[in-house]
Amino acid sequence: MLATAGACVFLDPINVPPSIKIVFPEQVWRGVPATFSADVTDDQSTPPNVEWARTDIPCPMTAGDSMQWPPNRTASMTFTVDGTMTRTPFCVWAVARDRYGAAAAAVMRVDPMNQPPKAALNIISPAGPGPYIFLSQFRFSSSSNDADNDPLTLTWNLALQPPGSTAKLAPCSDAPMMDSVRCLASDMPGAYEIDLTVSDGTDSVIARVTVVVQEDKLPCIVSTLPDYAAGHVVHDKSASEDVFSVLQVADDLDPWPAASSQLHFNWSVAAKGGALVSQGTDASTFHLAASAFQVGDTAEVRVDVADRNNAAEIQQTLAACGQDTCAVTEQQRAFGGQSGCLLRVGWTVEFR
Amino acid sequence: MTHTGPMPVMLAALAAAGCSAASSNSGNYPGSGGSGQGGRDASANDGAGGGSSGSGGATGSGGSPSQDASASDSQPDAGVNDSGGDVSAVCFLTLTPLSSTNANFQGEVERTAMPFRVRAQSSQPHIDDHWLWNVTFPDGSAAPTTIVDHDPTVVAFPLTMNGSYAINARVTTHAECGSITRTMLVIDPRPTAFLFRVFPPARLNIPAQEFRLTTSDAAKPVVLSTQTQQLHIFTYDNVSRALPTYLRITSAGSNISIEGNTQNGPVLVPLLSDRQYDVLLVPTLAEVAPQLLGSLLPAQLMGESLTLDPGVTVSGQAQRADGSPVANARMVLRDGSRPSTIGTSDASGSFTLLTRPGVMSAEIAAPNASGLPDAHVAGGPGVVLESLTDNLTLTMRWAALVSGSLTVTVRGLDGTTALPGAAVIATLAGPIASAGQLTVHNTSSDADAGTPADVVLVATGTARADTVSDATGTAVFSALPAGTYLVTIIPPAGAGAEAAITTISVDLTAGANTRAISLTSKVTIAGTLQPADQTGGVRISAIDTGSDNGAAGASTFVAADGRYALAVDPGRNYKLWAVPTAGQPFGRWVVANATPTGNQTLPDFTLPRGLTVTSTVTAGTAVADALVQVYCPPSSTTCLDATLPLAEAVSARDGTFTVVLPDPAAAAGHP
Repeated sequence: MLATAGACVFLDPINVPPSIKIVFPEQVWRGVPATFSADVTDDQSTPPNVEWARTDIPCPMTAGDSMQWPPNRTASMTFTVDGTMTRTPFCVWAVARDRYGAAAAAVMRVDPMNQPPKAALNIISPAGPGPYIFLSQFRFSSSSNDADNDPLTLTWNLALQPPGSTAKLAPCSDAPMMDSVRCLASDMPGAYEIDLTVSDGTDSVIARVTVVVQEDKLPCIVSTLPDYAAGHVVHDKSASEDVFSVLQVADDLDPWPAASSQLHFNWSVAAKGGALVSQGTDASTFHLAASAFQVGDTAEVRVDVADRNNAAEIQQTLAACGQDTCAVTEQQRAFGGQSGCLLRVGWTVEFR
Repeated sequence: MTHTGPMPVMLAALAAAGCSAASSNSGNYPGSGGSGQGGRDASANDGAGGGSSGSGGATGSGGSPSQDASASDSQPDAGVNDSGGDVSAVCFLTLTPLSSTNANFQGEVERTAMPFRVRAQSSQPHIDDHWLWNVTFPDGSAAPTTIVDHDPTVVAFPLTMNGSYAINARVTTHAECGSITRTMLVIDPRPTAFLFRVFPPARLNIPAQEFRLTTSDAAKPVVLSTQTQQLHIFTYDNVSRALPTYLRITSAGSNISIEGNTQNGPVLVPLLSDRQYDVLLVPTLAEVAPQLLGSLLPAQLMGESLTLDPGVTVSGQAQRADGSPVANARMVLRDGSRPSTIGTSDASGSFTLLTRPGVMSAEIAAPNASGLPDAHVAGGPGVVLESLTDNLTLTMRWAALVSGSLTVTVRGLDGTTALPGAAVIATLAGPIASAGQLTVHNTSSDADAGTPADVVLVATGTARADTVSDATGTAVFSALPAGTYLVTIIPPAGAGAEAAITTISVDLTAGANTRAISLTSKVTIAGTLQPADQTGGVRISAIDTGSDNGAAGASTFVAADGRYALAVDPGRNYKLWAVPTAGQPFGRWVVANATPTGNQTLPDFTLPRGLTVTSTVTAGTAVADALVQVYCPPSSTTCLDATLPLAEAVSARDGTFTVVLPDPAAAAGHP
């Protein structure tokens, strides 16, 4: 402060207080530490000491007199506000004091910016990238996060599903209270689009995944006993058992053998040139009663397979085939690409 | 049943040497003078000998040895009690199981096909000891006992059923020794090994292979032999023409047979290089006799020319008892698994067939509606064709048998509605001891022996015919050999779910026989699978093992309380097959054989606990897509059907597979 009074002249030079200006980082993010520095000027050769403080809002319009300055200031050249203190707007104070005690302060309001959450949607099951087999049961999970550590709100939506599908995206039965997982039991072939909207209260982002469910493939007989390729077999009329077995069937949903398989077997026998008669058994193995035949008799033994969903179509196909061995080719069935899929095999059994 | 016999000298000598039995028994001890102290403690190990404890030793105050059913009686104790009494002074008996690892009758004994042996011993053997045995089955009936090696102190008896057996022995010549009765609980045997059958995928050209593995063995990799040879089998006749032929390849000790037919080209077969195979070749054409190539290594088969000559022609005649010809009779000669061609008689009764040297049985199928039975001639002595140059002729002459017709009217459950479309099967209830004679004429001449004499072989007879009821529900068998028939009606699809396969007995006499048969209703087989609170959801199937094709079984799921009920046909033979669903802690098992004549409740059955076995199929490297089937061990006496797989799985990409097997250590059977 410069003052004059009467004839007196102070010979000592007048000390000019320092001036200070807070230098902000380029961006202050919510929940992220922010470091401030100060631009200080003074008329003294010795640099002023700088003290810092953080206070809650409201900040004073100007730094005002020193009585308003926050206590417990920290002396340093820069000032870092911990991430926990940047979640809401705050005030940063910087006080410069020269060696004569003259001081000046600057205060600035800081409004940290919100960081939007990152949305992530994962297919937990089935494993693999797809496309997925018919009637696949999906389990999705969110691994979304927020750099600000804001609490997230997850909103699931089945945005697209095949025509006729009534499938629902719903909480999983084994984790009904978990918002981070959802289950979907597909019921039709086609694409299902799942949207996950993640909100941190300020911003929202969407993750999206589309799963494609295949048509139910036809079951294909892989191997039998006797080998179906034999076609004509000669069996001992006096044998106690004449066993025919379907050993292996390839299928997407109902492979055989598998504990969960719902594959059906239909065995038919045409004895001695008679009509085919369904044997009413639904097992993979069939016992033909050799004692019902005389030497020189023949019997046609057939087995058809049908999976849980295609029985009607298979029945139709086999009716049109009418042979001992029936295969569906790619041309007959557009999807699946199962050229030569055996739906029926048969044997001619000659008894001697 | 009882067995008695004198005491062998050997045991007497044993006693003379100072050996005496000191173990206690549940039998009575005559001659005991009151409530004596001491005696062997129930838990004493009488195998340790001695018996020299002070307070716990055998009687010291005039009493008899104490009795406790839980005491071990494995071996007679040696020596005397030094605390005041000689145990050998009191006569008592002991029983020792010889067929069990149990030193006494504690614990359970697994049922086996082998007779169970028990030894009795007396603490006071006498030279004139005469032993009397009584063994009682769990149902209270007497078990047959057999003296073993002429030693009356050792008997054997069969373990034909599960449950508690009572074994009693006494010395009739020394009543003071009393008698002894022990009980023994017999249970189903616990399989120690399973038969693993592995079918590698066809692309690997590795044959299917079998392994006998315990559950612990199975946890190790299942290693397929890759020492294989790939055979391309062609068949030709003797003028090098392709000969369409059915072939069956088998190997002793293996249950796997490979069947193929060259009608569509060569049969490609991988075989194990070091194994011998039998190859049966049955040409589709009637001009070439079937051939059996026995015990050949694959290398020999590769070198073997599968060229078949026609074989030996055998001609013959089919005649009725009066010598009149029988047309359309079919004859096959069979040497083991090798048949001949089929000879079919013409209007003059003449037939020819082709075969090869051997000792053969004969099957002669009578023509339909001829009133004649099918004839069967056993292979011993059989039709003998010694060489390719033999010249045989056969004459099949049926015996003079009475025949009659049978007209069956099939009616529905209401007893009045005619039922069209029903399959009607008439089967002669028992064989005809002498249905005719097969005369073998060998006209080959031998310079030394001359022309052999005719051989006359007796043929037994069976008869079976089937037809379908017409629109009026009528089924006619115009001519059948007289006798008692089982007539079985298989209801048509529209007969209603309640309609059962119905079998009745019909006595068929000469002339016309008529019979109206009304369908009966199904009956129920019911039971409980234990543990009842865990078996809900198990699929249980009644598999009809009858000889009528078209007889279906039944299947259901066990209820939450462990109970099940199956609607089945009365009088049929069923296997009850329990298959747990995925995740249930049990193994598959055949629960019972049943032939219900009415509603039947079977005893409770405890399903064996499941043991999960994870293993790997390898053949140098992991084998994916291999089918693994697990069957009962062939020696299992509890496995009611060795053709039903206990578990099946297909190996994953890394060769691993997981099966759930009945735990050998778990109790299964009737609780």
